[in-house]
Amino acid sequence: MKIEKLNRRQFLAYSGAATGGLILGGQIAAFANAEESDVFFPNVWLQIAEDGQITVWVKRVEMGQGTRSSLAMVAADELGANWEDIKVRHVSTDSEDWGYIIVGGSGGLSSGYDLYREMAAQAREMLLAAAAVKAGGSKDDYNTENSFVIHSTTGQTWPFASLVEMAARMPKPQKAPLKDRSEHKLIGKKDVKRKEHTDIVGGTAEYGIDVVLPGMRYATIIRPPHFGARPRADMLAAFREQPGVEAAFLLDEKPYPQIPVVRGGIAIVASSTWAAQKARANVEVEWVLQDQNEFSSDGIFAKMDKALAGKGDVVRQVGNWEAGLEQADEILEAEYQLPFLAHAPIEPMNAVAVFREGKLEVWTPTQAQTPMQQRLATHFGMPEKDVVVHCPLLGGSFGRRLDQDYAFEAAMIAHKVSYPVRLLWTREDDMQFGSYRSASKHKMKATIRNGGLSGCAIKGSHIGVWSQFEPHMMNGPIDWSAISAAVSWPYGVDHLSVSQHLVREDVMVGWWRGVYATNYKLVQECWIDEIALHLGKDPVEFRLSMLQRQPDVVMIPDHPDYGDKEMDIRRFERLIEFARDTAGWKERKRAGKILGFGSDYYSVRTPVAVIAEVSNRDGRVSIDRVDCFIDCGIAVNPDAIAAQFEGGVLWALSSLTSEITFENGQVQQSNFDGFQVPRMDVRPKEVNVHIMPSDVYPSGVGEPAVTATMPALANAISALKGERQRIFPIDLDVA
Amino acid sequence: MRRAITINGKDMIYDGDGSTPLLWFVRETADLRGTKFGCGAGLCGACTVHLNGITVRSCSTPMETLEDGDAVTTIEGLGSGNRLHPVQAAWLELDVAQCGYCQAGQMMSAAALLADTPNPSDQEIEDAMFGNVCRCGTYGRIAKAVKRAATKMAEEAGQ
Repeated sequence: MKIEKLNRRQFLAYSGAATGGLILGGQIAAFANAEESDVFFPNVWLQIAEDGQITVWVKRVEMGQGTRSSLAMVAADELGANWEDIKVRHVSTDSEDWGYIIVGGSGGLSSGYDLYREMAAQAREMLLAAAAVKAGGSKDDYNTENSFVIHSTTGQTWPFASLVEMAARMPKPQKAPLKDRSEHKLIGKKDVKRKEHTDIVGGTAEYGIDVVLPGMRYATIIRPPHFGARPRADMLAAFREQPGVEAAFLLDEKPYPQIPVVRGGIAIVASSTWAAQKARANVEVEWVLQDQNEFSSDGIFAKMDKALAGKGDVVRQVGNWEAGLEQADEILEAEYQLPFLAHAPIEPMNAVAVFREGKLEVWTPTQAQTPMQQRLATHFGMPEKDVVVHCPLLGGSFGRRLDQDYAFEAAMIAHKVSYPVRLLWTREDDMQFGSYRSASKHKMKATIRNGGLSGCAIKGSHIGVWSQFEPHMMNGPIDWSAISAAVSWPYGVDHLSVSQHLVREDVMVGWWRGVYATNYKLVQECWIDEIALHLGKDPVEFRLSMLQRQPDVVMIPDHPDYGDKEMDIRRFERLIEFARDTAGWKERKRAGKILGFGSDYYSVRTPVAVIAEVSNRDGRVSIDRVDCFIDCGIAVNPDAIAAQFEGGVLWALSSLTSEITFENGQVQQSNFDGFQVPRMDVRPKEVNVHIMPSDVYPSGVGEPAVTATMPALANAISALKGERQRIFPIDLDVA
Repeated sequence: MRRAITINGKDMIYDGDGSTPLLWFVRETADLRGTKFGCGAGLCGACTVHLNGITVRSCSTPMETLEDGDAVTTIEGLGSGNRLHPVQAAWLELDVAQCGYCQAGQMMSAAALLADTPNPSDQEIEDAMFGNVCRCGTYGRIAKAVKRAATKMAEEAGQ
C-alpha cells in the first residue's frame, strides 16, 4: 500500500492555500499538487493532470463485477477521452462530496450512469471553452475526441493536457449538454480492457489483504463457539507466552440486534500472521458456556414446517385463492427445501485499522464504506469526519462484505493498542462465522381448471435479514428483504396467494448474490415447469401463454417506502421469445437435447432468461451449453456482462450443490473440503450471452446473471435425472 | 532453522521458526504480495507457487521442508510489465479475471502445466487446474487462456 503524502482533502486544502482564490466543494480550480504539476478538477469525480492522465474517482467499488471500469468508460466516453489515458480510483470516506458510498443489489452501474455522464460533460464543456479562449471562436466550434479538443471545421487539435491550465479557469456550467447515444464510442464497445487486469496478471493488484502500514502488527481472533460463551478467565496468560505474541485480550461482544454483530472472543496480536495463527493453534481454549442455543439445521427446518402449517402473512393476492381451491378440477402440491449457503470469497475477511491523532483509519475490502464509517463513529463516540474508511480491491464479495463485522473487530483491537493492526480471518473463521444465504422451505400449490392453470399459492419460510437484524426496516410483520423476490411472480392466474412464514434462529443471515431470489425464483421457476409438464405443455410456450393473460403492466407490491413497481409484461415476453428463438429451443428439443429454462424479471428491473443444455457424461451431469439472455437497458461493457453470466452459471451451480449445515449451534463445515464449491471439472462447456439491444437506462446484471440460471440448470438436471429435484443441495450423479 | 533459497532468482536467507509456511515468508518477509492466502490448508490453490519448477501450495509448505538452494518462483517472477509470461499475456488478452484474487495461483498452475505438457487436452487442463478454486467462476476463460498460452509458446518456440 502506498500511503500518499497528502490525502485528497489535505491536497485540496493545501492546493487552495498555495494558489489562493479557490472555493472548495466541487468548484473549479487549478491546483499545484505536491509534485507541482497542474491538475484540472472540474468536479470531485474527475481530474486531468498536466501530463494528460485522467483520473476517475469511483464510488462503486470493484469486486470482480466490472462496475469500476464501466463507470469510468461512461465518463471517458462523455469526455471524449482515450481509454488508455484513464486511471480509476476508489474513493475513501474522507469527504462528504462523495455522498453515500455503498454498492449492492446490482445497482452499481445504474446508480452512477447519469452522474458520471454529467460530471464528464461538465469537464468537456470547460475544455471546449478553454480551446475557444486560446484559439478563438465559440466553444460550439469545438469537439472532443481521443483526448484531444478538435476544431470542427479546421480540424486543428489540442491535447487535453495543453488545455488543463486554461480549462481550470473556465466557468463551470450548471448543466452541460450530454452526448446523443449515437455519439458514444466506448459505451457498448466489446473489447475495452478492464483497468485492473494488467496489475492482476502481474501480481501487483492491491487487495485489502495486501495493505501494509509501517509498524503494523498482525491479529487473529478466536471467536466463541456460541453467542454468550466466554473463555476461561486464566486463558490469556497462555497466549501471551507464545513466541511473537505481543498482546492477547478479551474482545467485547456486540450481540444482535445491533449491527454489525461482533461475537467477542480472544484477540491475539503478534509480530507476524504466522505467529498469531500458531499461537492460536498451540493453546486450546476452554469455553464457559451459558444457556447456549444448540440449534441444528434439522431443528430449523422443523420450525419452518411449523411456520408453513400456520397462516403466515399474505403479501400479494389476486382473486380469491380459497374460492379458487374449491372450484378446482385438480390440485397440485409440492414442497421444496433449500440449504444455508456461505459466500466464501477467496480473499478471507480482513481489515487494517489504526487510531492516530484522534482519528480512526480503516483499510478494508468493503461494499459499504459509508455505513461502516457511520457505525464505527457511533460505536467509538467519534465525529464521522474522524473515521476514514479506505477501500482497496475486493477479492470477491458476493454480498458478504456488506457486513462490517471484520472491520469492527479490527478497529476494536486497534483501539486497545498504539500501533496499526491487521486482522486476518482464517478460512475456518470465514466458513463458521459468515452471514449465510438463508435456508428455506416452500409449499407450492396450484389449481387446475378446464385443463389450464387457474391459481397458485406460494408459501415460503426462511429467516429474514431485516426481521432479524434491521427491525426498523420491517413493514409490520412483513420482511420485504425476502418476500419482494416472491411477489414478483409474473404469470397471469385467476387466483394468487403469496405468503411469508418467517422463523427466527441465532443464525447470521445476510445478503448473498441474488439474495432471496435465489430461494424464490428457483422454486417458482421449477414449479411453473412442473405445472407445464403436468399439463403436457412446452415449458416455454406455457410461460408465454401465462404472460399473455396479463395486461401490459402489472403492479408488483414492495415496501411502502419504495412503492409498488411496474412490471412491463410485454418487455418480458419479448425477451423470452428472443431466448426461445435465438437458442433454438424447439429445434434442439426436437433433436432430443435435454434443455432447461429459467427466467426472472430481477427486482422488477431486469428481464433475464436462461436455457441450459445438459447430458449424462459417464454417470455425471455435464453442462454442455448455456445460453443467457438479458435486457439490461444500455449495455455499457458487453464483455463485463458476458463475464457476469459466465461466472453466474458457476455461482448458480454452487447454490444448487453446496451446503452449510448446523449442529449444536455451530456450522459443521470449516473449509473447502466440507463446503464444496464448483471446480474446473464442472464448468459449462459453452456459455453464450445475448444482450437485447436497448437504449433504455441501464439496470443491473450481477444478480440477474444468477437468478434465472439456477432454475434453468435445475429444470435441465431434473429432466436428465428423470426425477424432479426439490430438495437441495442436489448431487450431479446420474443413475 | 536457517535456509538459503532463491525467490524469483534473488538470494534470500530464512532464519526462524521451521513451521512457518512458505506463503508467509514470501508475503511478509520477501514482501511479494502477489501470492495470496485463501484457505491455509492446500484446498483452494490461491497460494500456488513453483518450487524448483513444481507447483506447491505455499500455505501448506513449511520452511523446514525446503532445502538450501531451492528456487521459488512467484507470480512476480513469472513475468511482469512488458515481459509477461505467455500465460499472463493470454490471461490479459482474454480478460480472464473478475475479482482476480485467485488468478496468481491459477496462472502458476497453468504455467507449470504448460512447461510439462505444451499442448494439453481438455482433460489435462481440468486435472491440472482442479486444485485452484475461482469463486467468481472464470473457469471457462481459464481453460481458453491455457490453450491460447500454449499456442503462444509454440509460436515463440518456432521462431
